[in-house]
Amino acid sequence: MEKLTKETKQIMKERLIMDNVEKISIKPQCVFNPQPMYIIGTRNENGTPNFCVITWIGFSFDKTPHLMMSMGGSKQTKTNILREGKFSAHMITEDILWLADYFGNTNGTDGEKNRVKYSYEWGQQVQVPILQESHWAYECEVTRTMELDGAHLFLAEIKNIQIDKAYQNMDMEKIDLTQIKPAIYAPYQYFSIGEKLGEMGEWQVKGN
Amino acid sequence: MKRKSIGCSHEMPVQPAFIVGTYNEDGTPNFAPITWVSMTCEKDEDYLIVISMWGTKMTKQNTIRNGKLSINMVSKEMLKLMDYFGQTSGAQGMKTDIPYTYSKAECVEAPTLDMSPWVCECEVQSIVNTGESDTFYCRVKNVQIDEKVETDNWGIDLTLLNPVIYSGSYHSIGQYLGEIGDFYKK
Repeated sequence: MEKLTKETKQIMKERLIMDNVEKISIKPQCVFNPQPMYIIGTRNENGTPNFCVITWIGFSFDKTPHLMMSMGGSKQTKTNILREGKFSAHMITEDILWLADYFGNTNGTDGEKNRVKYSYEWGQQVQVPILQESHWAYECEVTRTMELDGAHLFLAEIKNIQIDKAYQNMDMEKIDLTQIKPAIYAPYQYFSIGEKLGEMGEWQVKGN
Repeated sequence: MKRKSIGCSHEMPVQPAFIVGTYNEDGTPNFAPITWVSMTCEKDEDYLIVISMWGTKMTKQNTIRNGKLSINMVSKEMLKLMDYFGQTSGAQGMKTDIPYTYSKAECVEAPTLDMSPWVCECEVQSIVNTGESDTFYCRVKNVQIDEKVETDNWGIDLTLLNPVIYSGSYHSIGQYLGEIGDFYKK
């Protein structure tokens, strides 16, 4: 990574001079990025919590805000959601990357993920486990399940959001992510948020 | 940690930013920012882009009619363009108040923004109506990337593409933090 960064500094310099970017075509593989990162919490059949990491999440809206989450293959989390119709989604911030990495590298079918120390409580609106370490957590109820060839897409209504008390004076219309510090994912790699560049509507204010 | 519940009115903090390009009925290009984008897969390695579009915007009408679209990653340098496209309506005609150039995509009938460092050319596979929004499942026909960015099987260095993250505010990507497993090993 270090080497790549050095080599590309020059490229970055060159890039600043150009407006339009010369492009090449690459194969349509796993190149969709950047992706937000979430820890998904569900309840196992025996009442224990299960957590895993999902980055295939987008938003949607139908009268109220919804999350749109997709999962391939078969995972304990998927089994739980298909059975219970609910899940929690915790924004992965820099300070809980260690926990996300643990959940992401272990398998829920091998039993409860309790090799590292963390704590949880059950949601206020929905019976889903909420991580105490999380700064931003959604309690969701699935309203629609769409099945694809090999994957499931869950459209879920956001029933409640729990956020860190420290954010209570934050402008929620124009959230400052440099304060929340979410981790950003691109295949296999984690990145941080850099700086706040501006706010929606600035073009109108500043004009050309 | 102490938390409080805030109901669910303000709820969408981490959104990757894209500008979707479509052709209008008269052949002119239309561009609009769309941030409700994620992905899914079929079988093993058959990836689909999933887009949710609310309301009746021009991009949605075009996508339903043509079944073709380009998804242009918004880089830091394109912020003004994204904000402009977002503040104007395609129903009022082609968005020409600020200068930009575009080209036809290589594999689908859709316009692409020349400034974008990463463009995904898509064909709509299916549309599912989900109340006030529609969910578009799009087959990826081609991906174009800034030729100066090296790609290998081990992903892409986001700091080179400089994508914008949207939350109502716009943010840049900071630094590389590690890769899968790095924190677990420690």
